[in-house]
Parts: sequence; structure tokens; C-alpha cells
Amino acid sequence: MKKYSFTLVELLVYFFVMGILGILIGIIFYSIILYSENYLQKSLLRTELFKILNRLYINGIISTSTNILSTSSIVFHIFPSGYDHFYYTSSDIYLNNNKLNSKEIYVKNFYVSTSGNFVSIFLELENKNRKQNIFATSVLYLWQFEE
Amino acid sequence: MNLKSQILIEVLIGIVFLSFLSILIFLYFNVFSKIDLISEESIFVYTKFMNYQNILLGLSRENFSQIEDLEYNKSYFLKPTTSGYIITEGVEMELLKSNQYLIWFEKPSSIGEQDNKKLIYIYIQSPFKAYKNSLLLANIKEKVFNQSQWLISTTSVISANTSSIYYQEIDNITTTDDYIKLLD
Repeated sequence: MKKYSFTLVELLVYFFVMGILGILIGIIFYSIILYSENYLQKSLLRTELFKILNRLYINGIISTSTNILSTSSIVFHIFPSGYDHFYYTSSDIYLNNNKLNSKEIYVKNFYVSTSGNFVSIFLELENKNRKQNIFATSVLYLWQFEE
Repeated sequence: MNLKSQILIEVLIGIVFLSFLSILIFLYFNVFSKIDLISEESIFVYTKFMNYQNILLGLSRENFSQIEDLEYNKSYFLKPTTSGYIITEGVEMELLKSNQYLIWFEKPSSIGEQDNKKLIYIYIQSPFKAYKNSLLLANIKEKVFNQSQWLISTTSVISANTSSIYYQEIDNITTTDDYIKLLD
């Protein structure tokens, strides 16, 4: 009978240990990929939100409105030479006719409410696979003339 | 070298490899989760500072005396009402992903105050870091007398973070006959 340098039990234990290690390493790498993807999606959402909020705030400060022009989904910024308006349609936010959000980001909610001379805008964004979302509330002061 | 000692060496190399891997994974998740948290916080802090700045600018424009009447080195926060915002004594508390954030503003003891200008410090205290932002409020009504001047002063702002420059620019408004009459 031929004599092997290791027994069958030793071989099975070796494969078992290697198999377990392989599965563990696989899980670890999968979780790293998943976590990175998750983090990148969140970063993308935040960047988009920053971009839109910045436009809202800048326009809110430099606008010179003569009266409050806002509905539940539109904010008007009146300038001496015309006006700008933010509005929301189904899943996109626009400044006049320019889309502010990228193709990969959807606008889930855009609510406008007023109290006195202040306008509160609630904005919620979500990513392409609609699994993550981020929201912010910005308050603007509507400058008015007192003639 | 027999097979058993070879397996032993493989196991040892495996243990060393796994140790390095576990350290890397710990660092990866630890660092990323912190970056994630700071990034999440930054958007909250940005909106809070901007909201407070806008509301305080609005309140000071409507009635500057309520800014002047604030006590020095006392904490105040802005409380929403149906007709706007009111300045209330105390600290605003807000929860963001089970972390508590404190928001308030103070009028520091007459630093930088001159000619109807008031310096305000806005604070945000997060569980990890404290943020501070300064805002210089001016009594615009005493400085701007007609619509053309008002247009110049309000359209001179070019970014959201230039409030102090904006008020400095008001001093440079060219005087008109109305202004001279008022001075007389």
C-alpha cells in the first residue's frame, strides 16, 4: 500500500481552515466595497445639497424683492433687472430654466413656507437607487423696500 | 522540510497576514466613519450658520433696537413663530442622528462696536467640536435713505459669506441732497 506524507484527516482540516479563511476574506472585501460605495453615494448627495443650498442662500441675500413671491414649490427672487425663481418639478430643482441637480440625484421634496418676512425652504435629495437621502432646511430673509 | 512544518509556516504567515488585514480594516472603518460624521456635521453647521445669519440680518433690519438691547455675554437663540422669529434667552438644542447639538449666539462685550454696529458671535457645539462664526450687524435704516441707495447697498453683496464687507461698503455710499438735508 502506498504511504502518503499526510493523512486524509489532516488534508480535510487544511481545506476546512483555508475555506473558512477564504470566506472571511471574501466577506471583508465585500463589506469594504459596499461601505466605500455607500460613503461615495453619501458624499455625492452632500456635495449636491451644498451646491443647491449655496445658490439659494446667495440669491436670498442679493435679491431685492418688493413683496413675497413664493408658493409651496416656487421661490421668486426679484432683482432690479428681472427675477430669478427656484422651482421644483417631479424630481428636479431649477433656477429659472437651468437644472441645479445632476442626473444621478433626485429631488424628493421641496417645500416652501413663509412666516413674516422669512421664507423657509425644506429640501430633500435622494440618490439614483433611491436608497439614501439627505435633507436640509434653509431660511431666507425677504428684503423689502419701505418707501 | 516535511509537510507538517510546511503547514505550520503557512499558518504563521496566514496569522501575520490576517493581523495586518484586521489593522487595516479597523483603520479603514474607523477613519471613514469619522469622515462621514464630520461631513454630515458640516452640512448641518453650514445651514445653521447661514440660517442664523439670515434671520439676524432680517431682525436687525426690521428693528435694530432689539439687537442693541441684548445683554452682553448672554446666550440667546432664535425661536420660530407664525409671524417670523423672536430672540429668546437660552440655548437651542437639536438632535442629528442621536447626537445633540447646541446652537446659540452672544453679543461679546463691546468688541468692534462703533457707530450703530453690533458684533454677534454665533456658536454651534457638537459632541465632537465647537464652531464659532462672527457677524457684524449694522443699523441700515440710519444709513440708507432712498431706494437707489438701498439698491446699491443690497446688490453689492457677491457671496453669502461677505456680510462684514457688505456693511463696510455701506459707508461708501455717495451722499445725495436728501442726505445732506437730513444732516442739516
